[in-house]
Amino acid sequence: MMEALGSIARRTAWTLRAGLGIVVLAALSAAAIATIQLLSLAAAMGSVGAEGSPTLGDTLAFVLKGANQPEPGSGRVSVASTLLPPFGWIALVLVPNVVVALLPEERINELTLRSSRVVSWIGSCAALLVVLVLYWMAIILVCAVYVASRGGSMTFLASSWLPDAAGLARETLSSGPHRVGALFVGAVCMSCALGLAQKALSGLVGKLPAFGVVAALLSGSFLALSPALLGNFMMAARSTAFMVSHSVPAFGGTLRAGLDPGQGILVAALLALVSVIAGAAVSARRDYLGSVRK
Amino acid sequence: MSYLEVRDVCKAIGPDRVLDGVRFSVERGEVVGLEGKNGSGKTMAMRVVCGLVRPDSGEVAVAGGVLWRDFSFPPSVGLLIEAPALLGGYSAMGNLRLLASVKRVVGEEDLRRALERVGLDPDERKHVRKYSLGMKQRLGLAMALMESPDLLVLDEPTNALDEAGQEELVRIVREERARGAAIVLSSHDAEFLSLVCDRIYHMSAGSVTGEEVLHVQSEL
Repeated sequence: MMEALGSIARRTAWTLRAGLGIVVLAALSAAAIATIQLLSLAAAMGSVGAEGSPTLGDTLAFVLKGANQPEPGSGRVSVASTLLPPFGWIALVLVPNVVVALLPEERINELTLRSSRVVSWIGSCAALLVVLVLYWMAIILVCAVYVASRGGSMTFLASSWLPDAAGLARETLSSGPHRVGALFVGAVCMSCALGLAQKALSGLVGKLPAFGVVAALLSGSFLALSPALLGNFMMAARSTAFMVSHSVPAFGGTLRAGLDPGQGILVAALLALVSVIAGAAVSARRDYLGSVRK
Repeated sequence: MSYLEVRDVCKAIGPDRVLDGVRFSVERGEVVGLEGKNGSGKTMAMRVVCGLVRPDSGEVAVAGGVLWRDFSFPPSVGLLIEAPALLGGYSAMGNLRLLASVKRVVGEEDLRRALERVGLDPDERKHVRKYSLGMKQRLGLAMALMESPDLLVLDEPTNALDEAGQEELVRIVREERARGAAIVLSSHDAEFLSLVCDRIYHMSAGSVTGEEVLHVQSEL
C-alpha cells in the first residue's frame, strides 16, 4: 500500500516538474483573467454608485458572474445574447481544460514502464488536480490582493450593491444575504471534475476531440439554464447564492429556479469518481501503439 | 526456462493481423536480433515484449512471471522504441533526473555514467530540443541503460547514429551482454546485427520465418 502511494506521489511529482511551464502559464492566465474582471468590477461599482469597499465575496461573485438565464418561454437566450457571450467567464472556465490538454501524460513509454498502468493513471490525475486547484487559488489570491488594496473585508458575503454592479436579473434575485463561499467551492470542484472527465475521454477519443467536447459543454452552458449543462453550476447569475430556489412566473412563461451549489458539488464528486474509475479501466487495457494507427 | 519467452503471440490492429503466432526466447547474457522488412512486425513484437501492447492470444513470460497476469510491465526493462520521448525544455541530465525520480533506484553518478557511455556530456546545459537527431537517439539509449535493466529492448538503435556512434553502440551492447542483460534488438542494418547478435529471428508478415545462430565477435 505504502509502495503504491509512493509510486503515485512520484508520478505526480514527475508530471508537475515536467509540466512546470504549463503550470506557470495557467497561473499567469488566472491572474490576467481575474485582473481584467476586477478592473471591470471597479468600473461597474462606479456606475451604480456603490459605497464602501468590495469584499472577497463581491470579487469572486463578479469573476464567476456568467450570464443571466434565458428569457421565459423559449428557454433559450436571444440572438443578441448569443452573439455577446460572457467572454470573461468562458475564458475563466476554459483555461483549466486547455491545461488538461497540454500537461504531459502517461503515454510516454519510458515513464509508463517505471510503474503500473493504474498507478501511472492515478498519479497523472493527482497532478492534474494539483494544477487545477493552483489555478483557482491564483484566482482567489488576485481577488484577495485587490480587496486588501481597497481596504475591503475578506468575507465571502457579497455586498448589497453587487447584484446591480454585476447586472444580475432582478426578477429572480433572492433577498439575501448572498454568500459566495459554496458557489466558489462548487466551481472549483466542477472544474476539477470536468478536467478529470476530459482526461479520461482523451484516452478513448484523443486529446483534441475530448477538449472539444468539454469546451462545447462549458462554453455552451450560457445558452440554457440546465443542470445537464454543467457550466451552469459555475455561474453566480444562475446559482441559489443569488437566485431564488423556486421558479418565478414572468411574462411569456416562468423563470427557472437557481441551481444549488451543494448539488453541483455532489454532481462534480460523482463525475470525478466515474472519470477516475473509467480512466483507470481504459489505461489498464490500453495499447501504446506509438506511430502505428488503427 | 529462458529469461524471456514469447509464446505464440497474435495481435490484430483493426483488420490487419500484425503478429501471427510469434515465438522466440532470450536468455540472460544473450543478444537476439529481429530482422525483417518494414511492416514485418518487429516493432509490434517489441511493444508486446515490453507490455505496451496486449496480445490477442499467446503470452509473454519474463523473469519467471507472465505479462498481463503477474505484472503490467517487465520488472526491470530498458526501452528504446521509435523516437525517444524527451522533454525538450530540459537538458540531457535533466531528462534523466526526471525519469530516475520515478523509481529512485539510481543516483547522480549512475546518470552521469549513462550519458558518458553514449558519448554525451553530463555537464551540457543545452536544452534537448536543440539536439540533433543523433544526439536524441544517444540520449534515448542512455535512458534505456541508466538503471542497468535485466531486459534491454532496442528498436532500430542505429537510427540517426553516425559511424562513430554505431561503433560505440556495438561496444555498449557487448558490455550489456557481458553484464548479463537479456537483449532484444532490431535493425535494418544486417552488418550491425551480425556484429552483436547471438541469434537472429527473421520476420515477415507478422510471423517468425527463420532462426539463425551466429558466432559473435565477443571482444570489447
